[in-house]
Amino acid sequence: MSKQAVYHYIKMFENIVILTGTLFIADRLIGHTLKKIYFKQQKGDYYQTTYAVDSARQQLLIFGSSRASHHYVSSVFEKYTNKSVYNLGRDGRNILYSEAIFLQVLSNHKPDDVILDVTPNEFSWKAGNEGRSVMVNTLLPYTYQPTIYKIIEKADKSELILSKVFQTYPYNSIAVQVLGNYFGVLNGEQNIKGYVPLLGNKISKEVTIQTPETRNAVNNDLALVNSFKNFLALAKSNKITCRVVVSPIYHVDEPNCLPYLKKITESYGLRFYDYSDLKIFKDSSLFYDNTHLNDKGATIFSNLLASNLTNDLK
Amino acid sequence: MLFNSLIFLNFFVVVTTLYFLVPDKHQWKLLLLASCYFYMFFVPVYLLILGFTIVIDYYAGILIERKTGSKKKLMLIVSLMANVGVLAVFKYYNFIANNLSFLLKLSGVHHHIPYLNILLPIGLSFHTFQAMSYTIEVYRGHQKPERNFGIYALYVMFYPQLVAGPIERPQNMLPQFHQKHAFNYDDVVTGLRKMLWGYFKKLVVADRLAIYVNAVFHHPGKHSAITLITAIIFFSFQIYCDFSGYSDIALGTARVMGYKLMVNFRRPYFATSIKEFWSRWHISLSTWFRDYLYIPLGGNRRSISRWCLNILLVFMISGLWHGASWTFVVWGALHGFYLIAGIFFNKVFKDRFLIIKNTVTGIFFRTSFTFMIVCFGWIFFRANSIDDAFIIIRNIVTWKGGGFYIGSISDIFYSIVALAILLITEYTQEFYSESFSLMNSRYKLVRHLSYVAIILLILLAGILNQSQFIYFQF
Repeated sequence: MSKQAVYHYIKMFENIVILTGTLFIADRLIGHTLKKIYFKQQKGDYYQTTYAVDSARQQLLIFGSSRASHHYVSSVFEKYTNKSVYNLGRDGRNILYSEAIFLQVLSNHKPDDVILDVTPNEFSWKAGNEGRSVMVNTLLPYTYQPTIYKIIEKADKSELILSKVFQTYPYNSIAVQVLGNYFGVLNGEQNIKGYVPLLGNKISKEVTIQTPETRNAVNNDLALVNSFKNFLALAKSNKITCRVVVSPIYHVDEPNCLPYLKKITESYGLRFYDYSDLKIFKDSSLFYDNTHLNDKGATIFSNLLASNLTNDLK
Repeated sequence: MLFNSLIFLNFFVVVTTLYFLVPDKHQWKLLLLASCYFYMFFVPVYLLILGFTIVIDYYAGILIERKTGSKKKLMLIVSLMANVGVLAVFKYYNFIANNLSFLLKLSGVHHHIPYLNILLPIGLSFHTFQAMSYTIEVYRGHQKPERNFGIYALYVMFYPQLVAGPIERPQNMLPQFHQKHAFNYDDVVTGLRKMLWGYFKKLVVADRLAIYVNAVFHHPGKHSAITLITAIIFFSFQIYCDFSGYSDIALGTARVMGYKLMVNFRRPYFATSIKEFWSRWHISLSTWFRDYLYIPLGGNRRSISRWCLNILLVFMISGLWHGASWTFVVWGALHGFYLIAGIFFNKVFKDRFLIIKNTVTGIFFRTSFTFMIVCFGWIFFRANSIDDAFIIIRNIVTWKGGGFYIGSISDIFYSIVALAILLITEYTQEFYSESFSLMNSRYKLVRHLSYVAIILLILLAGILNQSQFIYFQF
């Protein structure tokens, strides 16, 4: 090797060391600050997950996506069942997230009952890598929990490695919202025992109501189907009463997998409650948008469901 | 294997390390092996298609040199037909079939020409054009045919530019494959810096803007004029950062190993005319069309009507090169029309506006106008169909109301910050010296801090879900 080449290698090595050192310090500093702020939030989506991961100890827990979070008024269920209730639903998350949170909850506490809200597009919404990526990214700040660590390790080891190497990485794409929530610049949604009310009505007038018959053909993603089965199996093996519920929906374009959801649920000896086509919920004034009830609709639905379940839940 | 994946980063580190460890005479062999592995990551069997054109073009090159007259021409035609044939089958068959079926239907014949259910080999348009430039250059006598089959194969397959260019010329690349490339600190640093900036453009700017753009273009009829205008401006930067980001990573990857690829973008949105825009945007393609289509057609040495026809033809074919869809043809034709309009404008008004032409106001006006009409063209490029494009134009022209679609506040925030960083950097590079930018600062501390800042920006604001590069589909 020539003298010049050796000089080039040494110069390169020297610069790599300086860059790595600077990056390490800056990353640790920013990552640590973001971590502190993230866990100090008291409202908004991230707080909802932090609560679910660290603190959910209620007797009745509700799981699901945004439709769970906006449809199940916890206080109504408390009134009917005399049990402590918390809604763990979260916007933009599918069954993979619900399964992970259920596993984490079980590592601390065994609820008496769980309700899992499912949607007609449960097995196609955020299918494939997208759903897995959303679940993993949501849970990256919680790898200090052994259960979460294992879930992410199984789902995507490279994400876990990145989050260990770079402390800023778990806050990818969320730093602005976290800071905004913390400093009160953004109005993170306030929840009432996990229930996040939606106010008003934004339904598009151009939409036509679809019946199950007019919806598209079923298109099931195997990972989502398995995740749903795992959720039911977990409940069953822990002797937790589990109800699978389809809450009201105004319009859905996506494939309808309700018959398949029902079949799987019943194969586990569980009851399937379908409220997606109830006549009273054909009224657009009860909806915030095509797939979400507003506060008024959610209260009517929660009372209806809770009264129907009362005998079972008591 | 996508440039924005961890697998690629590992691949890059391993290949580059091995590259400097193996003896000089084996470096090209390692690169060829690595390039095959890289390409096989997409659809392994498509390596055979690539192999087919490589074999034909390699022998065509040798035979072109040996033969004379019509036989020489025949060899060139065989080579071009093989390349264009592969393109026609894999990229344009379904488009042609669809349009023929439509024409038959119009003439009362109800016969549906069956489609081919095949996946487009990745980067096909890029490497076929690069291969064609080789045989054309050999035919013209500008390039000696490459005798080493492996090196010729590497010329077509060199992994940094295999799937999305720059579309290289044999005069630039082939000699470099014969040279020895020892570890050079300056090359490595220049290359890594280029890669880092490319990753910033792709992950932080392009992919972030894509969230808003995709949401709006998915249902263009639902959105207000102001939302559509925002989405079009965002798309103009998305496609620029997506493609030039890819090019930067390609240039950087090659430079680390000592190879100098041609510059593909030179801050195109600072162009003050469409003519200048095309000398700054996708330079390797526009010069390809200039050298191998526009000039052979006669260029501007013919009558004005023929000159205009040449321009229109070249741009329509360039549009079709981008994708087998009428939206791309319209986009190309639109740019051809812009250039023709520019020619007539200059002929009619000559130097009437010379006084303000080069003033700050004049430059600002011309840059803004050029950007505006380029953005108008992007409507056709991005729209899912011609109908969608006209819906967008109608909603803008009629100034459709309905409020401003924000989507996610944090996405908008990240987008604006990323765009600001991009524009400030490019402005500095355009109007001041390259060394004025932070990454090129003469102060080591400033340089290192700017690297760290970009890496942290990627970690905090980058979209790290390995999204496709837009130009991969071409």
